[in-house]
Amino acid sequence: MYGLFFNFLKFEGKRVFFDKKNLLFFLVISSLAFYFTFTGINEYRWSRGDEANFAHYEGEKIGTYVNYAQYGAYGFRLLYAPSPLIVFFGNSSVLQEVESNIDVTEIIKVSHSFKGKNLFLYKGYFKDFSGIVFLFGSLLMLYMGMSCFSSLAYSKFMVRKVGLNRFFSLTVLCRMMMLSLFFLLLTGGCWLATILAGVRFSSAEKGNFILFSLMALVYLDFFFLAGITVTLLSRFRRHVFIWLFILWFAFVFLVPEIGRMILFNRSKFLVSNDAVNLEKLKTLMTFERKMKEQFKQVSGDERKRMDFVNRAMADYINNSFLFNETVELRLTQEMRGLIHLHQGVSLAFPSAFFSLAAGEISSRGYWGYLDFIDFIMKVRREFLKYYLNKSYFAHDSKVLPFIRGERAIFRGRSRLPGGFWIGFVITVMYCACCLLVARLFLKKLVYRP
Amino acid sequence: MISILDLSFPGADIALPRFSLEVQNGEIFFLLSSEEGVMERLFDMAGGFSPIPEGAIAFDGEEVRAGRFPERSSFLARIADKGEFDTEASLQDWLDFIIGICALSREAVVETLIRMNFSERDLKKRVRDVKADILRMVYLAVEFAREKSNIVIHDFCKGVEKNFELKFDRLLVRKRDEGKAILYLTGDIFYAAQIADRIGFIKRGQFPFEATAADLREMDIQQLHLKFLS
Repeated sequence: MYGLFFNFLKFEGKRVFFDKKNLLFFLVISSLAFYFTFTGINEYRWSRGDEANFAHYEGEKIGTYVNYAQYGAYGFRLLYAPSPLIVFFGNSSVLQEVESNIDVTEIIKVSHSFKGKNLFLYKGYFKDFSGIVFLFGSLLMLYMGMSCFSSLAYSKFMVRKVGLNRFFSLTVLCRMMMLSLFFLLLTGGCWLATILAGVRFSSAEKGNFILFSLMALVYLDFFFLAGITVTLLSRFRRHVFIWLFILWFAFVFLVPEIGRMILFNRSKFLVSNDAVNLEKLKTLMTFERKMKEQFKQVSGDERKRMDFVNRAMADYINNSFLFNETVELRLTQEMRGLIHLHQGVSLAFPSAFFSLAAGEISSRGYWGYLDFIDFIMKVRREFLKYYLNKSYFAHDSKVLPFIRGERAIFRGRSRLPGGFWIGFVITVMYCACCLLVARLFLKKLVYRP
Repeated sequence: MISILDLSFPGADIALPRFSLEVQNGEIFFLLSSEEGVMERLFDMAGGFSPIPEGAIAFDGEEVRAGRFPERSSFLARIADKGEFDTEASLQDWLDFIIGICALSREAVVETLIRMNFSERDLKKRVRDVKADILRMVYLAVEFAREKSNIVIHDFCKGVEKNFELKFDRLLVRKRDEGKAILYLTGDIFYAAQIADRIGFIKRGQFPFEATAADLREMDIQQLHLKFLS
């Protein structure tokens, strides 16, 4: 049996790696994967440089404020810095370069600037390592699946030689092993290039990338097995190309788009940002009006006035600000629910699962955004206390920054999407189904009833 | 010896009459029909790829059962297009693979290849780059590498070059002379007339006519073709 296995392995190795057409496909995919890894490395380095600039300019900016009222009105910025794994997922993530301006107004701002060189940053979809695997890897595997069993005549010839089970299982297994070897080498090569370029990863990030690679292999194997299944279902007819292309298009473009449409349609039921901002503004204005009325009744004594301001600020922090935070948290909570729904839907389809996992592992996924929002809310709360304290009670000769250097940068965390293993098992089950259907149909084709 | 006993199968498109046939050792029998489906089905049944609804097919007394491939017979299927065997590998790799998995004797394979005037240079080529007849030679060499007392052939020479056909005929006659029973399924009476010892026709679910080579020489082949195969 071992001899048979090694014969099949050797032959499939030659089929896969010694054919000019296949080599051309491998070369194109490898070139694109390495090219986008290098552009990913460059962009990551550039963004690291930008982080240093960001921290420097923020420090400089705050130094120019004349008083704390200006500090409160203009505020300062927080930058969302992605995990180094963004090298592999630059355009497959949910978020782009985002930052938030923290001030004492009621609006929480999370924005992406298109100003200046930022306008030229956006590359478009799939232009990163994971995008190449997602798009061209799946197409290649579909083709490899299609050419796995050459024809019915060849299958009958081989079945007569080694039997149906051995022919089917050894051909599929060995070809899959060889193709997996190519993608593992490609992934390993890109990883090594990143390490050599000086990008450092934490152990959690390394673990996540290994799991991503494993998931990507299962995703690619699904397309390989789907290619075999569709070819057998179409009885080796020539027009199988069309069916395979339709299948690929549906899985790679339509399914993730349907997921996105479900998310979009459900998101319409979320309360609008304007409504949230208006509600918060009303609370703030009501508070201001009330305080203004009460302040008129305070006698001219400076100490009493300061006592009043002290009480008013405490009142604001404990009531109006808290209420506004609750309004914001309600919106975040609703978003969290939607993200859970999107996650659940995505787990059910290999391509949607791949996109979801790529986004979250890159650290610029939905959960990364929610982490950033939590961070923003926390910093805002602290800044408001700081601002009120400094504005009304401190007598600093110059404005002291609330946040300095690295603290203004929020480091996104690479993470596995919730239900990662469920999605993984579902994809494996898709593979098992394809394998089963392919085996049944090959038998049906070879053995006529 | 190849025995077909009371074999029949019903069908809407293809049907076979109840018929019996024996191909003796050292004999080439051509079963002729213009109904491609009947020939294909018969070949599949003999090879164990299709169940036999009624009757039996046996090789040296060993009955064929669906799903179990007869050990006592070689099978040569028609190769309609070399693309059918395009495995992305070179002929050499494919041959090595087949010799490896079937534990064939390389000498036996090479012997047939030499008889067919196979050029070694072609081994380096990919299947898609060689002529279909070159692929047929390799296929033939693999099938004949194990000595078996019976051979069933389905239209193997359809569309081949004359040169290949002549070499194949010589090989077939040699196999017959070695005492093998050969059943050839085809619709080509002109080819059959060249090497058949006996012929039989199947037409529209009937098995109307059988003739020996001696009878055939005295008959008008054209007439037979028009009568039974058109």
